[in-house]
Amino acid sequence: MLSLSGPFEMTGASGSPVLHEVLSAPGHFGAAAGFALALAQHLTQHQGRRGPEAALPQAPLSLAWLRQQAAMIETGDVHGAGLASLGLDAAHVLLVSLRTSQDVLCAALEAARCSALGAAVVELTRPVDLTASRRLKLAAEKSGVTVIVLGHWTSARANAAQTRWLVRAGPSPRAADRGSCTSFGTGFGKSPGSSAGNGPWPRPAFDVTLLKHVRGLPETRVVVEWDHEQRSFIPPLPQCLDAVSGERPLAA
Amino acid sequence: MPYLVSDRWRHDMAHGGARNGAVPAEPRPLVFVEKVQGAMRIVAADAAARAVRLAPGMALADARARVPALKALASDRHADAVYLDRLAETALAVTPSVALDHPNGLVLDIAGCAHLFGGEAGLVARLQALLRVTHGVCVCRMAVAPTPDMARALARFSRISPVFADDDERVRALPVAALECGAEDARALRRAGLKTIGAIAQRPSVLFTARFSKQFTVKLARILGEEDRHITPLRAPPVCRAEHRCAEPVASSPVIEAILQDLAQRIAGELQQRDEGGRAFEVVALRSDGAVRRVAIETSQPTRDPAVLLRLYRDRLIALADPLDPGFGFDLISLQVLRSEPLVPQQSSLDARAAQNGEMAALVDRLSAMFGRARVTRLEPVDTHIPERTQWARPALDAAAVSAGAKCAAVSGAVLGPPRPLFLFGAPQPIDADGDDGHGAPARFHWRRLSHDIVAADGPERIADEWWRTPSGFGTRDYFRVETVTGQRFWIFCANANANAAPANAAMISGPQPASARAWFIHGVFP
Repeated sequence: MLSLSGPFEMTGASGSPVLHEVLSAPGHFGAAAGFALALAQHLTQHQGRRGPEAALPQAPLSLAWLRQQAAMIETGDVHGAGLASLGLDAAHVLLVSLRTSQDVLCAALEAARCSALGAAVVELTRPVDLTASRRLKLAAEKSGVTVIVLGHWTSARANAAQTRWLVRAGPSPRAADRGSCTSFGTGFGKSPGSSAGNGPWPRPAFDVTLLKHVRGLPETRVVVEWDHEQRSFIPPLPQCLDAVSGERPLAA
Repeated sequence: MPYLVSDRWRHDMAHGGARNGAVPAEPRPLVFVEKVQGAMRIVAADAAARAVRLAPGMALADARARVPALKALASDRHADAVYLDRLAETALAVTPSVALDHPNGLVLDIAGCAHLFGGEAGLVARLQALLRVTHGVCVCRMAVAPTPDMARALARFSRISPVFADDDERVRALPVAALECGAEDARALRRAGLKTIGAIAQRPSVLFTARFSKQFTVKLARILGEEDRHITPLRAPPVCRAEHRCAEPVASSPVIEAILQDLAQRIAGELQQRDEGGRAFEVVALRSDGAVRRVAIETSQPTRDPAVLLRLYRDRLIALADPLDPGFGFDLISLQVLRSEPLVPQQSSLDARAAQNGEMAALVDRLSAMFGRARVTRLEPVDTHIPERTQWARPALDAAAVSAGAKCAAVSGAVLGPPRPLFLFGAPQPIDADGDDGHGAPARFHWRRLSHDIVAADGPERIADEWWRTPSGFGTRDYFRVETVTGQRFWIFCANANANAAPANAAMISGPQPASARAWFIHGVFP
């Protein structure tokens, strides 16, 4: 099974990116949030983590999700079972809902200083400016927390984020194979063309564009899927051939 | 031992005048009326009205006939209760144990507090001054006695004020009305020639138990000081408390924080002796004009570290809606521990899991102190299959320890059942769906002024209402996980799915109802 590791490979003792920015195309916020959570799990698993938690591969990720109340009205509340479908344990997720974006940045700074936290997803409606993002980066580097800024805006602004992604919802491979509706009348029927994974249910697919990477990788666009059991990204087989270039060890 | 102070307010003047601030003194007699059994009767009268012998219970028409220049206002019991609560709050400056003594009094337990004010007389004077200055209480009758019932009787029925009683000699001189028993009992006692409580006390109590009731005798014993009872204070007395009286009023925050540091260290010493750590703390600051300012701090794990307390206090101050304005300065600053739990010094374990938990708890404390405990939550599963009810957000301060037996199945990696959306709308939003793909799902739908064409749909998944709980309002739902042309995935359902089924023979002929005829809603968004 090919595993995409070019821009997703973030190993390295020092200098590994800790501040990431995930933007969503208009209307695709659900996909962006899902990708941000998947990215958080992927990074904390494969990145060299400090402290004794590195020895526990299957330890549940403790994540803090900082939201703004205005965003909650628009996108809806976080669903615990949905977190489980992505591979997170809802008992280890801390949900903070705040009034203004200033409060969110303040809380994000607090969370970035707590080394017991695995990752922090900071959801904002206004772009982060340079000073705030630099402060976040410094705090995250010191404590080893992965900070992902999830933005409701699409235009990129110059800030200290080390990687920047633009996410859209990717077409599920089952739809491409089938081309029309499936599994009807029988309830949760099995579809013959589904890829292996969580039973008859297709994995969530994201169409991501890497806009900026601290190591200077070129802008690439790829469609990936998220396997919540293995906690890794898997490109669907038809598209992996035109996937991103860059150093990419082929692990069979 | 000196035990209690019992006060009584004639708060008719107080709640008529002082509540509105600077109201000019009302020259006319003031009464408060309420409709009792069809007639307007007086329930409260002020000093001027009592001087012309207008008493509660009199009908308003009679009162007006007697005193034409009467001013009558409707009585507002709720405002009276609020006012009494505020008076109780002020009285907390004198002693921590204050209870309401209906309808218009307070009972305070001053055991151990009198020496701080230079004796009981000093305490009474200070309390009177506080109440007069802060709330405009003009007349306040006070009594200090060993038991609460004796103090209440003395305050209400004795001719002089304040009364300091050590034994029951003064109580015996009180009239029989001080027993506050029913009208017939009072009449019976009067007919028997018993005018004072002392006269009743001289007779053997068996007679009264036989004639009246056991309650009567108990009340008599309490008033005479033979039997004692505890008052239930409004605020639970703190577990431990340290206070600092300032020589001159303090207004600058560095000084206040220095004082708090000192208090926190004293509290830490006391908690250490008990092997406990506090979970809820309160900083109470009394201003020189009598107003009380409180700052509450909570932690998710018991602690007695002064540095942690100071830090949380500073975080809480940032988040306060109205700042801790000292006015002319604080006279008294006290730190109380409201709730404590056993805290044993923990050995640092080899895998440092305890340290991680401690750090997470510290983060939760800080965020809760800065933004409020309701904003920092964790999701907890609820045993139901209605999607919008399957979880509730519990403040993270309460869910201190991550429960090991969580029903979440994600720990093992296996997701039971069909996947659920990441975002769920609290209230499903109605959408316009039309077209039909022949399998029950629509071909396109309109939501938020956008049209989405469906290319794939999974379902239907039927979720019925739980008949043993309140209905959700949507009946039996058929859920579909649909994917649109752009790749977005939504969770939509059709409400009242079983009601829409046509009768059996008709269905076989014409098929199920078209999608546009049913009520469709969107419930969630998949990643």
